[in-house]
Amino acid sequence: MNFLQKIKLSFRYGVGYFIVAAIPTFGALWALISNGPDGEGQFICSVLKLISIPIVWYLYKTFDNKNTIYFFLNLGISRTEYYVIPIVIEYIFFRILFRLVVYVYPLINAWLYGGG
Amino acid sequence: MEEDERGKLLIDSLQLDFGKTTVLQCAYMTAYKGKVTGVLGRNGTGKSCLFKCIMGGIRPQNKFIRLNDEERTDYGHIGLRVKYLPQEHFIPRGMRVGRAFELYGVDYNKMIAFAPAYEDYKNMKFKELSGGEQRIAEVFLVLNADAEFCILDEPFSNIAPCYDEKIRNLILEQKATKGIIITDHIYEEIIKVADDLYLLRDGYTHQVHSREDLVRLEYIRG
Repeated sequence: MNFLQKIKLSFRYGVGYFIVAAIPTFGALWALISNGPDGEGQFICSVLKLISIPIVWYLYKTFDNKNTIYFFLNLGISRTEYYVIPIVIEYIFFRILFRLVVYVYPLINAWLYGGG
Repeated sequence: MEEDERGKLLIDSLQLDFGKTTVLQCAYMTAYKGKVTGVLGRNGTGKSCLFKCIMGGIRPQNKFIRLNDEERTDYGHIGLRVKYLPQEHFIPRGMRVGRAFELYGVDYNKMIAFAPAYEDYKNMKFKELSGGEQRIAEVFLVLNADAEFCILDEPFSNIAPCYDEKIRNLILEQKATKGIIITDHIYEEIIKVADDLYLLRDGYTHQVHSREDLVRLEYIRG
């Protein structure tokens, strides 16, 4: 099983993580929008997101079906990959949204209010 | 063929503690390709923990695992070489039966030949099958998947008696190409298929050679 296949499979078993992680992700992005996409807003957003990762991971690990991991271990996914791949994918998704807000927010602001 | 020339899975010095409770201490076991190795033990003696430690699902305090006397083995991805059937359902409930067979590289027609009722189940989700039907599919999947060793944790539980013999025959058929490690509380079934037997007691493994050993080790009454 190659790495791309492992990523594809993580969308199946990691769905619980993605759903739980979506709440702090959008919360952190809301903080970025509320505080403005400058240095302070970016700092608050990043801190909120980083604090939420271990909490979400703990919740996911606690409520995840304990036996399902063996279905994926049997396919050649290691225990570390099983837990780390969804976290990395979700974080990349968050960074994409983060960059989008940082770049798009001033443009929308300028378009709405005709200012910078 | 000499036992040492065959493929083998060696587990040694396995130490597993949960807080102050010691589950396994200095546990050892050797399973050979072409043989069925039975593991017996009362409830809570650590049989499932032993298997989970082999697969990497539980991280023990100490373990020594070696496949085929290789100096370096990628134990992180041991699932490519050793397939494990846990005690409880392990296939994602929302997964279609046919998809699970596809991922494990097992021909679904073989499943239909084994149990004709499964002809209609290919596009169903696992959660739509009964507990016993799920279990039969899981046992069949793990036994037929490409692997050097199979670990079966209670393959006979929750299964209708008419399938017991079929599964026993499947195990005997599969041992021609792989090593099989098996445990079950229906110990008579294990004794019927096992070439080597181990008993787990007080965290230690004891090799069992006869029924008298099981009586002496207080697993069964004399």
